[in-house]
Amino acid sequence: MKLGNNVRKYRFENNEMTQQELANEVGVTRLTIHSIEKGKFAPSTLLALKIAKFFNTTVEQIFYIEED
Amino acid sequence: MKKINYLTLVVSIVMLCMIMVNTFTLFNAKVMIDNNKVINTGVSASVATLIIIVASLHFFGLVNLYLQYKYFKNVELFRTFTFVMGFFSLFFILVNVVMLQEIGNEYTMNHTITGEWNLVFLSLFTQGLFALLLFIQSFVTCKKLLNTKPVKKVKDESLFLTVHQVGIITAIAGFLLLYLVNNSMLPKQYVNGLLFMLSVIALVPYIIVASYWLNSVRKTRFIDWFDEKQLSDVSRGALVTLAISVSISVVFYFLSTYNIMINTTIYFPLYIFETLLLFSGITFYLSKKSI
Repeated sequence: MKLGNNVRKYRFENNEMTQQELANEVGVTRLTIHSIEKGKFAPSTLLALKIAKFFNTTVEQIFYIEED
Repeated sequence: MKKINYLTLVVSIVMLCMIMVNTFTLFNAKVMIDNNKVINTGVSASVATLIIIVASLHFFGLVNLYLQYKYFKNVELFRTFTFVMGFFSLFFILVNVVMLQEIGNEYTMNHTITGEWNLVFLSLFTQGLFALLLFIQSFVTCKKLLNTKPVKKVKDESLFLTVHQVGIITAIAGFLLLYLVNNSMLPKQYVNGLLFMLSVIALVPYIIVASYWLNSVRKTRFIDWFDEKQLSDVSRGALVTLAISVSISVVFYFLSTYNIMINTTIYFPLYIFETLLLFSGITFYLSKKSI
């Protein structure tokens, strides 16, 4: 089981926001946002909640479990 | 930023010219000394003046590289390498001065001058290399300044990555210096002292950049020093470094027990550079792995 996400989709729906802009909003580096979108890094609960809160949605809408 | 960068471009060309003039002057002096001819006293004054100017321009170049980093806030291997080369070049200027003093003393006492000229020309080569790297870096930056605007970053990964880049380059330079000194024909009592001094010199760029990073985060809470991905990468890097460095230390222990490696003085500096290379290399790789 892996962690999938819709961060990139929500970013583009939000005025085509850049990774750096999202990183500035949630207080992490651009590399972290990039790694999350690529599925190379699983964010902490706090970071996942911050991202969801920024996009005005729930964590379950952005992050989901991918069955192998 | 544009004006400083254009100025650095000019400064690097001036440095290159001065280094070429110095090389030509010293080469002529060497030929005259080898042929037992008298050297004009004005030669030493002109060489000394050029050395002082070149050393001052080195500081200007290093400051410009720092300002480029502050402006772009990105990681560039070439800029990092040029920055580290600047420090080594400054060190070699000091070596140059000491060697020229030695040559002067031996010339006045009519002694045979042996390996000092090699170090003088090595020093001039290093200075020339730094001037060339600075020129290329400034030239490339001129073009970038036309197209790139600085980006606002709340949490900046570039300094974190630059520290590890400098760590990798410093460690490799340290290994090279250890190898050169250990395999030189110098007497053992000079080798041990030289190993210690060169190890400290090699670590200076890393210490400066790491101290700069520490200074930039010291006012924040410890948990905010690293981004959560950076913390994960540093932790994994430290774990792998511990495992590999302990294994290598065990190998060194058996080598010293069976007297396979004769000069045990290099073990500690070798351990320092090996640990630095492993930690910086692995952390940098993990940080960039997702790209």
